[in-house]
Amino acid sequence: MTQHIPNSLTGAIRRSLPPPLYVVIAVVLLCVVEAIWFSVWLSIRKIGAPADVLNAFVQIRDGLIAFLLVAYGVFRVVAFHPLFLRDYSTWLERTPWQPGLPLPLGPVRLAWPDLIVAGGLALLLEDQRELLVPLDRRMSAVTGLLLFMQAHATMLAIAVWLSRPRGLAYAAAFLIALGARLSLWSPLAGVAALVAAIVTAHVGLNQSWSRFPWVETSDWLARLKTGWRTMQMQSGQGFADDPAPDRVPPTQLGWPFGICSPYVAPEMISTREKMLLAALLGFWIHALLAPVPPDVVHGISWFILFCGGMVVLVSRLATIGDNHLHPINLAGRFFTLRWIVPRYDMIVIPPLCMVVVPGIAAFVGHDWLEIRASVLVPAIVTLTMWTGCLVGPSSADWKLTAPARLVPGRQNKSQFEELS
Amino acid sequence: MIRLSGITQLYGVRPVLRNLDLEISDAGVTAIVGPNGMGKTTLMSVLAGVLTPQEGTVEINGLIRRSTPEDELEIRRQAVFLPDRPWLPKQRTGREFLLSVGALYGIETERLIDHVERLFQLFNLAKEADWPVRSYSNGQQKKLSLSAALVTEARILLLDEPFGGGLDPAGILALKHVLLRLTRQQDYCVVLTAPAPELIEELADRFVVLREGRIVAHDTIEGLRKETGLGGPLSDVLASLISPETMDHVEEYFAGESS
Repeated sequence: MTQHIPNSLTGAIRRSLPPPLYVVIAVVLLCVVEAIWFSVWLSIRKIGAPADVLNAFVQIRDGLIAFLLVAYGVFRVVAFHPLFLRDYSTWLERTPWQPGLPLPLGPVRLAWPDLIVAGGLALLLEDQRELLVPLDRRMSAVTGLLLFMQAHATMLAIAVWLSRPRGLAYAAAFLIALGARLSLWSPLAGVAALVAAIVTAHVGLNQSWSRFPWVETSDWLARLKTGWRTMQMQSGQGFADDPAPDRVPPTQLGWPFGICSPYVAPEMISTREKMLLAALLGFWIHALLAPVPPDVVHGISWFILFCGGMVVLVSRLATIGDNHLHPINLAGRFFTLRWIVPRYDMIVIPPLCMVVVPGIAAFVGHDWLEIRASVLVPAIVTLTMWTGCLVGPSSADWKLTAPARLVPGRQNKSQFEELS
Repeated sequence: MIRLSGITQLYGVRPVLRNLDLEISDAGVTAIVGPNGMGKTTLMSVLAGVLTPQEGTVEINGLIRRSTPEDELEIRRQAVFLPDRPWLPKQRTGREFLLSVGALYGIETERLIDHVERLFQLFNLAKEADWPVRSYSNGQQKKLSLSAALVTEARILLLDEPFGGGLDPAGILALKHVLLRLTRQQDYCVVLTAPAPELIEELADRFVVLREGRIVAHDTIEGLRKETGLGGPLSDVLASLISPETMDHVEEYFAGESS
């Protein structure tokens, strides 16, 4: 018995840890930072270098530990939830395993070995030896542990969202951000919200097992690019008895079958849910920006918003693709005085609105109403996404109705044989 | 029923189709014929919805092409288009390709597998069924693309030069008989273009004769004979409609040699 306990302890921890290579990398990184710190500490002692140099290394080390805690929180879901492991999920389906029984790879929810791994890592934050000069603010072991739990709960909420029930996933995601925001005002309230988030995420996790093996979602994850399997499922064709598992995705069927067929990639979420997600994302950004000093937020957020706006504009315009060309080229428009082809050109309306509307909102909010950046930036992000959701047409509708010239795509021509 | 109303299509400022009106009845084979560069492929592309005309509408079974997403999807289920130069996925096998195309059109799996097998037999491709498309010859690729159009089970087939592209005599014979049986016995509507009249003489029920972007005749072969007053083979009848000056050109050519 006395031998059994240590064996099971080390075994359980080993099962919870990432693959050895990642553990070694993490340890080496920590050792390198420690070694640098030590050399700086020695130089301060011997040649009297400025002591506040050490503070920079303290912050780097704290940041590294925080990163490792977050990474471990994410890992504990991604590497253990069958939703993210297609082979594991398929294998599990063929075993007598049923929801409620222990998972062969280990639990997705947090267990006591996690407390040892994450707790041990977080305790490194309590090391006070290097504080020759006091820092305004240092991360405590408790904060580190909360960070780990936040990351785990966030990943769990994503898993619950993907495997449904989505309502609980949204609630958990909201509570996590609320916890982060409240902790600035009252640490206790922040912890309470985080605990509520963790409980909600776990309730969602328990409910989601009833839908195992989440065929639609796991397949969607695997074939995110094409949505092909989802379409097959919607047309009533299952997977287990699919006689042709290597069917060609529609995008790879060439001309004209890949472009002019009656297939339309299905929408994974409704417009209402997209808008809810946009609001949630805005709240998350607000929670993340809240503790950052206002001048820093101000400096980076407008740059990020500008870049984001450009990305939105370009990516939406790219939906035109190389298969749906304009009916008249620019020269033709000029000479025939048909400068605008309304039903074709309307594809630029959504991306334009997604840049112009938030741009105006940013100007009004910042210059006239003087709203703080930590509030205004999230609001603009949400507004941009709402504009994209509400201002039509969708690219799928546009492709079916625009007076475009449908042509074989030139981008991936090398994949096809063109009949001569 | 396919109905084209007031179709006008310009390439730059050059009109290719000029205010075309055309009605194609439910079942049968309609052949679009005309000289090179006179708009056969353009008309087929307009019918197929891959080209939206500057003016006019295309109506298929009461639905207007590219008017609403629902109508367009329904038309795509009912009508399949095969261009003269399709692109085939070269890394995939012929069977994978046909099964995938059939699945896109929502064909039930068991029926699809059976149909694919019969198509390979029909076009003598049984041996090559599981070879990658890149290893097919030109003619075999043409057969595969024709099979892809047939596997969709769409009741309207829009085929641009189906007898071209290196199709061998056996393939031409098989295709002719398949199209005849589909139109006669299963009420399929086939619209095709063909450069050589002898290929379609015994196949087509009606002919749409295009010249300089206009329909100069739309009738059965008997109707065309009556209209031209010629009783000979289809090639002579069409020649008199499409290019009455051809024989004059021949005479001029030899007259130039003797002088």
